[in-house]
Amino acid sequence: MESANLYSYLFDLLKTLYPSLIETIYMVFFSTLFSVILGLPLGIILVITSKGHICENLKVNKILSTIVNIARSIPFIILIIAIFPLSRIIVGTTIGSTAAIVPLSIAACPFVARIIENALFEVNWGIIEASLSMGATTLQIIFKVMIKEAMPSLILGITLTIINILGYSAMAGAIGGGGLGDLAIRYGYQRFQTDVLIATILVLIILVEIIQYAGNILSKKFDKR
Amino acid sequence: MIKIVNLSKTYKHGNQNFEALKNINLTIDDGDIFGIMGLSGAGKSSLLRCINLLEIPTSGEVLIDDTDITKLNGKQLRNFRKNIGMIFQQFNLLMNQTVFENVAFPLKISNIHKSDIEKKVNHLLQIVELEDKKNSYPSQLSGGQKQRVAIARALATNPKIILCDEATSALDPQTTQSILNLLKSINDELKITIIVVTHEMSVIKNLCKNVAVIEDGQIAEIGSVVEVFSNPTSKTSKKFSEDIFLSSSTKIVSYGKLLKITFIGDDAQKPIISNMVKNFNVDANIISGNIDIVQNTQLGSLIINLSGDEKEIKKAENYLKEHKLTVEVIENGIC
Repeated sequence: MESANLYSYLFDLLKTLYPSLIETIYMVFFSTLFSVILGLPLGIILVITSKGHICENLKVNKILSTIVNIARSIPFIILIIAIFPLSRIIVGTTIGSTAAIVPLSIAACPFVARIIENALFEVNWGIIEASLSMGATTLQIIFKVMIKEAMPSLILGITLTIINILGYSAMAGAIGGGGLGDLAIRYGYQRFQTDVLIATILVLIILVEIIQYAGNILSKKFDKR
Repeated sequence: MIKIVNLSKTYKHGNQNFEALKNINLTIDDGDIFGIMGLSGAGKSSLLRCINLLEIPTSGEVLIDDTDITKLNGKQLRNFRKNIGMIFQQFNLLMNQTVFENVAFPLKISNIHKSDIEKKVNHLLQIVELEDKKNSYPSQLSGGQKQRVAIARALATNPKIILCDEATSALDPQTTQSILNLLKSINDELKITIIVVTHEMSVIKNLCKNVAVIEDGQIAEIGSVVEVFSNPTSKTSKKFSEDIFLSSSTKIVSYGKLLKITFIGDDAQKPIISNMVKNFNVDANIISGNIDIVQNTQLGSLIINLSGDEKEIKKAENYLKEHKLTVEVIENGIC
């Protein structure tokens, strides 16, 4: 292949990939945002209602924990289909990247809850006890003590979540969610265009690397321990 | 004044109940430095935590200036806790926040104005001599410096009481001494009542005015430090007083009679033994002796072996008792 041809070939490839990449980023960004918005309070409640913690309530804890476990054991592909009616209510359609955000957020939410639970459990109880002794309220302990102290772990946990959602988004693409996963299936699998498939995977690898790298840097920046 | 009335604490482990504190009655005066000592598991930390209700007593009252804090609701208790500072063995500082932010924390959660916080924190850091570490993070400090930050934090809300939970147990002896001096000066200058839980004799000896010895969840002995350690009666205080006096349990081959003599204050300076030998027909052989300063009072012990005529030994013994010395006869080398 001549070099002029190679360039135009690569250009075409990128032109094919670009809209899908943007769709993926759009899906992943909003799904992460919504899953953290939903999962953060869930994770906090799981921690503070646990035995011996600041708002011990074993009943609430057990119920939430069971719900989270059930939600996590449903296979994602089934969840998307099951959530179709909800997607239709919220975004008016079941097809496209926007529609995919609904099941992605809901699927990632219990995962986020567990990640946040683990990070917050790492906070030394002594620090919480000290805050109690100073007369801090429950909300002050959650936001000014636990979350601040657990920040490095929370950032790493959310990094993990983003990468997970990226993987899920490829699955969502398979049933009409768009994005890189959809591209890989349409071109690579259905049209046997292996080059597009490989290019898609390369882009995904680079994305994962960038996300993990940024997460690590940010986490270190917050870690003064 | 802190008054603890009929306080008990029972922990439930499944079907088993564990009585950590049994019917504790205790009064601590304002401005006191009160030691709560005991071996690990004796219940001393539980007792301390009952004073700010970090531990909720199963029954009994905790009266602080005539307010029974066990009857307060959530909000009242939170406000009340601002009168009671607390420092811990593991310091419990916010690791991701600077020294300044740590000391400012109790003020921030009380919604105090920013400029007032800044003034107050700078002043506190001056007291604990850490102005230059203002922007450091706890991980950059030594153990003693971390405890100083914790002390500054405990002082931030102008408390009337400071609770110390094994505050020097993680520190080396020199650093311990400097922290004890700091606590002493806080007690002296700010008139803050300090309650310390410890298993270290050096803390009791150098810091406390009064002490309660806790054994199996009960108060075994209570009184001034000199009183308790010049005449220890409980297992725990006897064990601790061995830190002051040479252990008397070493097996000493004895002929005649072995006596352990304890003397307090000025008695330690009088030549009583020498006079005894002059006045009675006995020989005194000094086996071991020690003298220590406890709360500015000399406290000494001497183990002597008296030999001679039995009657003369008895007279010599009485002579010692007449001089208000505590005399114990050691049998089989064990006191």
